[in-house]
Amino acid sequence: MFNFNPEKIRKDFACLSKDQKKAPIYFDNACMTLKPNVVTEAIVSYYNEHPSCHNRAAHEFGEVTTKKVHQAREQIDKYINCRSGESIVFTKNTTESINMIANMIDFKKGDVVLTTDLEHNSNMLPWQFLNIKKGVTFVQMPIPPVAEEFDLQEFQNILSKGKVKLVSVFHTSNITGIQLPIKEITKLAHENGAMVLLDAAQAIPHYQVDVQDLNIDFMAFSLHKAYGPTGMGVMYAKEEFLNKWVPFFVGGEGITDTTYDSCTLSQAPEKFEVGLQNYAGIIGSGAAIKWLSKINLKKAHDHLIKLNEQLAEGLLSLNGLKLIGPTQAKNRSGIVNFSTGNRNPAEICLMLSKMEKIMTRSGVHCGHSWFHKYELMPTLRASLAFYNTEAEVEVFLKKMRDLIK
Amino acid sequence: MSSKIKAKIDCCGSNFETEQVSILGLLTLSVPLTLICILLWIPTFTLGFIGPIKSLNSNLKTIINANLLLIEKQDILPRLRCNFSVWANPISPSLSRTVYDKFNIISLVLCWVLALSGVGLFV
Repeated sequence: MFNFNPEKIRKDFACLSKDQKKAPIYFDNACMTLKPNVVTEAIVSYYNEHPSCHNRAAHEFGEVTTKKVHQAREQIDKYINCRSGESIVFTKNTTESINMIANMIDFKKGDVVLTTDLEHNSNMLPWQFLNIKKGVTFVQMPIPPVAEEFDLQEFQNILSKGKVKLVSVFHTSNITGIQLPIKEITKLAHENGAMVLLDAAQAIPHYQVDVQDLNIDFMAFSLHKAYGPTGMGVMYAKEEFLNKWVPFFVGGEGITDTTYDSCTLSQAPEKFEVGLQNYAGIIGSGAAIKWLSKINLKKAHDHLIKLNEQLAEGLLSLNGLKLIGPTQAKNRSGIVNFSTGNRNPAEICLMLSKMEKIMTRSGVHCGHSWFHKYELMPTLRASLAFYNTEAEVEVFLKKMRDLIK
Repeated sequence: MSSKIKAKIDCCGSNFETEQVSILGLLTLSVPLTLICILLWIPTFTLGFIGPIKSLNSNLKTIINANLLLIEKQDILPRLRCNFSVWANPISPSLSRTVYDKFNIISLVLCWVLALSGVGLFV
């Protein structure tokens, strides 16, 4: 474990360790983080040195791949503190993980799924479709743009009305950065007989999300937001569910034997990982989590909040700009999302990129329903990672001042 | 409000607006109206000490500003507009902002100039 130092961390990233003038200012980390060299090296090493599938190949390449896939899985199990006997399932992304869980839980007509109204589309649409297909009732607890914290009392009131089978909520919002009190939410949900699914997509890169401590039943996250390769995600479920669930996808690798009438399923997690897998991605994911495990996340988070505060203060001094979400930086994680007055955020996004290679995100951030509900216009979002620096924030603010005075 | 949002968003909302006030409408109505109002505004400004003319001048100013704002908010060649603004930024940030703000009206007026020049050539 080394002390936190953004400049030292930047040296681990090929595109950040360039000459300062050529290095981009990457503020789109809520969409995807950059990849440290260890990740790209792990991927290249797979393709150059042992490009084969795991488990089923008895040759040398196969053995190496099997071993490295196993190590990657163990690395992630350890990072989220899985119980003994539990193991994560590799998926394509958070969306796929949530869809799998939504389709493997035995929902009946009239069961209630409780989310917030601030969820990413990926934690909203699976429930909307379940409502159409199975008659599951889909309830959203409001989190308005001005909310500073989650209203646990209101949550308890909804839960106590009964029939809530699943609570599916984000840990950290990709729109406002607000974080939910997951431990308390889980406790209340369990007391009322509901299971809990955690969308940890925005949390994994910033916090050590401990599944045992939070006592959640299911979790979904993407590796591409946690310094890992694209097209890699994780589905976590408690062992009891992994053992009893019938896989949503079926096919090769997911079985140990078949006849034309029946099949014998593999054990979890293999039974859920059917067909040839993205081995390069899995190995790269292991490398990313191993790299992330060496970072002092507490100090990195403090650095992130300091940058968030600096960024927000600078933006609020500009005419017509307005932050959405919590007013205090410590409640916004790495997110600074703001309306751009009478300027089109998409145009500002484009101009920032062309002027100074500053990469931000404009739009509604996969939260169309929330923007409609609260009648908000599209915004510009700067999302930070711990390799960002105060100097980068200053350049961003200077350019914003140039564009909006 | 809802249709305005729909016009601006994509999955993550990275696209430019697609539903806009028609360029033809701006060209044939807003631009001529703005130009006529500017032409009328100049004498009414100089004669502003006369009560009723002062009121007319104020109304003309409102119409000009409203039209300029309407034109400014439309996405007419947005990428070109941004590129020009980016190009002007190293020269002067104020110039960059002016280029961005006035790009649409200048483009539309240029259309009129070109069209009238074309007509002039034939006549």
